[in-house]
Amino acid sequence: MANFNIDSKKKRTFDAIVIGSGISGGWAAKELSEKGLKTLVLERGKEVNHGDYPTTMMQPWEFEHLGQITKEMKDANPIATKCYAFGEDSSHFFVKDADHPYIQEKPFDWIRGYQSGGKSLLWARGTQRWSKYDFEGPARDGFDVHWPIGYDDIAPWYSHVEIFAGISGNKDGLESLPDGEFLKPHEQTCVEKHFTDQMRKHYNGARPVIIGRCAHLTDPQPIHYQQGRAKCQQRDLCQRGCPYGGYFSSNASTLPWAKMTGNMTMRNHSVVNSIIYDEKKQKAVGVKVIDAITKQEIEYFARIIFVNGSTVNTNIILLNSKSSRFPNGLSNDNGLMGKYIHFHNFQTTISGEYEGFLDKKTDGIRPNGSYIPRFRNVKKQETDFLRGYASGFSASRTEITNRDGWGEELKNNLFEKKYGNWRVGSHFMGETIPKITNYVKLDETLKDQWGIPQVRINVAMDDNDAKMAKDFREQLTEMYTLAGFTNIKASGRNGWNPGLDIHEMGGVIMGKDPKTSQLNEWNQLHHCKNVFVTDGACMTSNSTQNPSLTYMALTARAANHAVEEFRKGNL
Amino acid sequence: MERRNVIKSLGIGILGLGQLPSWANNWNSDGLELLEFENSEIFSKIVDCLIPETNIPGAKSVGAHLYVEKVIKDCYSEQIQNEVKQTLEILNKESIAKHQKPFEKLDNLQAVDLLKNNTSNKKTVEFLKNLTIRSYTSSEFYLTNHKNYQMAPAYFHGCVEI
Ligand SMILES: Cc1cc2nc3c(=O)[nH]c(=O)nc-3n(C[C@H](O)[C@H](O)[C@H](O)COP(=O)(O)OP(=O)(O)OC[C@H]3O[C@@H](n4cnc5c(N)ncnc54)[C@H](O)[C@@H]3O)c2cc1C
Ligand code: SF4
Repeated sequence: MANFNIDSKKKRTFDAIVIGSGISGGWAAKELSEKGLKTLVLERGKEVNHGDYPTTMMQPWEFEHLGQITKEMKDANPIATKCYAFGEDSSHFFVKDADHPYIQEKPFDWIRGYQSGGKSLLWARGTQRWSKYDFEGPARDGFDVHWPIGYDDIAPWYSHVEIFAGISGNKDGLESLPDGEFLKPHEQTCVEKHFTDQMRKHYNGARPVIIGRCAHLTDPQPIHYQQGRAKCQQRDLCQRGCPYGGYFSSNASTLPWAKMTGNMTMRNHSVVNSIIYDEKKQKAVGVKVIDAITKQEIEYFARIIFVNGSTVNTNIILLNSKSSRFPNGLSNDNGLMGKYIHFHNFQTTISGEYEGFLDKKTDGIRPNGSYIPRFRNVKKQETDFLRGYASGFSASRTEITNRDGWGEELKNNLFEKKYGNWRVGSHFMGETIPKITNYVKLDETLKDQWGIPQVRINVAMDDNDAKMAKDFREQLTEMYTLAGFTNIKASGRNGWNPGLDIHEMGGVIMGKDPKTSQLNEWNQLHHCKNVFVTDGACMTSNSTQNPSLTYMALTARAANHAVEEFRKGNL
Repeated sequence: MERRNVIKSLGIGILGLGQLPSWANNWNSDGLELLEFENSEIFSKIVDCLIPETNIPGAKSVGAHLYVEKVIKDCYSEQIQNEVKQTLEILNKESIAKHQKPFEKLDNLQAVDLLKNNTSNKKTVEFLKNLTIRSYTSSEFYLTNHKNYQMAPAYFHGCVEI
C-alpha cells in the first residue's frame, strides 16, 4: 500500500502545472513543454480537440431556427445569451448560467467558455500591441498601482507570440500603436479608405484610422503549416471553431504544439480547487483538483504552477488557497487580492450612412474591420476625464431585401438586386481606472457543485467612464460629420453591464511594491515565487487595446523566466 | 393522429422536391406531438400564398411552413404565440364567413386577399410574413441561386464596381 501511494504520487508529479487551457494557459503549456518541462495542463471543461467543431460546416439553412436562440435557452441563460457571439451555432462552447452560479452585488455579465481552449474558440481575434504610453499611463495619471515593466520589456515577447500565432495587419508606423510582425493586412472598404483620408486631412494625422490587426492567417508561413494550420478561407464563422485553423485558438495552435513535444499531459474535467502550500518549503507544491464528473478529489504536484483560469477564476482559486501561513488566500498578505478588478467600457456606439460610392460595393467576406487607435490624452492630459478610448470602424454595403407586396409580386421583389447606402458604425472601447472598490471575493457560505465557494462580484462604472463615453459620442459625431456621413446616431447601450466586454482584468495585479500589488515583474506571486499568474488577473491597468495578445506575450515571457529559474534551482 | 399523418405525408411530398433542409427531414412524429398549434396546415397555406410556387420554387418547397411553426413555438414568448393562435382563428373564421371553407382550403389569391385586408391583426400578419421571407431568403435555393452564396469565399475586395 505504501509503495502504491509512492508510485501513485510519482505519477501525479510533474515539473510544471498549468491551470486552464485557454488563450493564456495554452501559451504557458507550449513554452514550458517546448523547453523540456514535463507539464500537466488541468482543464475544468470538456475535451475539444482541433476539428471537434460540430457546427462548423453547417450551411445557414441547416439550422433548425436559422441561427436564432430558442426561448428555453434564453430564459435559462439570461447572462450568457447576452453575448453577441452566442447563437444556435456556438451555444455549446459557452458556460450555461445555471451550472455555474455567482453573486452579482452589482450587475456583472460574466461570459465564460469551459473546455479545452477556453474562450480562444469564441474570441473576436482583435490583437493590438500596447505602446509605451499605455504602460506609463498609471504612473503619469496617479493610479494606485503602477506597472513594473514597460514596452521594451515586452516588445520581444510580442514578436515571439505574433510570429507563432499569426497576426495580420498593416505597418502603420504609429507611436500610439506599435507595429508587430504582421502577415498581409485585410483590405479596407471604399468608405473606410475615404474615412481614413478625411481624418488624416482634418486632424493632420492626429487621428489615424487603420485596418484592424487580427489573429488570422492571411498568408500562412512554414511555422503555421507545422502547426497543421492553413490559410483563412474568410468565412467569418469563427465562433464555431475553424476546421482550417485559420484563426488562432489554443485548440488549433498552442495545445497541439505542446502535445507534439511529448512533454505535455492534458487532463480535462479537472476543476482546480486550490493550490497546496508547504509551510516548511515555503512554496507551493501542487494543486487540489475535483474531478468535474466523479467529484473525487485528487492532488497533483509540481515545482512550477501557472494559474490561467481567466481573470475571475484565477482570483477564486488563489483566494481559496488558504493555509495557516496565508489565511486570506495564497500570498495575500496585503489583503488586496481580488480588488482592483477592471474592464473595458463598451457602453456606447455610433452609426450612420454614406451616400457616396453608390456605384461600388464589397465582394467576399472579411472577418475583420477598421480600427481607430486611441487619440485622447495619449502624450499628455487634454480633457476633463482621464485616459482615452479606441474605437472600431466599419463601412459595408449590403443588398436590400424588398419586402413589399404579396404573392407573386412579393416573390419578384425578393429577387430584385438593389443596394442601399453604405452603412457605417463604431463601437467604443474605453479604458477604466482600476479601483480598490471594484472587487471579487468569496462568499462565506454558498458553494458550487464542486464544493468551491461561489464568487461575489462588485464592479461598477464611475463618473470618469460616463464623461469618456460622452466624449466618444461627441468626437465620433464630429468625425462622421466631417467625413460627410448622414443619419448619425450615437447612443448608450441599455442593459450593457461591466463584464459583457469579456475583457475583465485585475485582482492579482503586477506592481513594484508587495504592499500594494500581488505579482512582481515576472508575474510571480510576491510571497510564493513558484506560482505565476499571467492571465487577465495580472493586469495593472487595461488601456484601450483588446487584451489577449498582451496576456500571450506576458505568459511567454514569464514561462521562459520560470524555465531559467527552474534550471538554476531557484524554484 | 390525423394531424400527424398529414404532416408526415406532406414531408414526404416535399422531400421529393429536394429543397427541404435537413433539420426538417429529421422531424418525426414524436417531435410533432409537442406542437401546440391545432391547425398546422394553415401555415402551409400562409407561406404558399405569400410566396407561391411558380416556375421556380416557392416558400412551401423550401419548408418555410415547417420553419414558421417551429420558430414560433421554440423562440417566441407565450404572448406572441397566443397572438398568432388568435390571428389564425380569426383568419379561419373570416374564411368560412366569406368562402364557406377553412383558410387552408382557399386558393392562393383568396388567401392572400384575406391576409392583406386583415386590419385587426396587422402586426401579427406582418410578423408571419417576415418569418416566411426569412425562411425563404435563407433557403439553399435562394442563397445559392440568387445570392451566389459561398460559405468560404477565401477573398475580400473592399471596393468593386456594381
Ligand atoms: C465573443 C468574444 C469576443 C472576444 N473578442 C476578443 C478580441 O477581439 N480580442 C481579445 O483580445 N480578446 C477577446 N475576447 C476575450 C478573450 O477571449 C479572453 O481575453 C481570453 O480568452 C482570455 O484568456 P484566458 O486564458 O485568460 O482565459 P480563457 O480563454 O477563458 O481560458 C480559461 C480556461 O481555464 C479553465 N478554468 C477556469 N477555472 C478553472 C479551474 N478552477 N480549474 C481548471 N480549469 C479552469 C476554463 O475552463 C478555460 O478553459 C473575446 C471573448 C469573447 C467570448
Ligand atoms: S474566417 Fe477564417 S478563421 Fe474564421 S472560420 Fe472562416 S476560415 Fe476559419
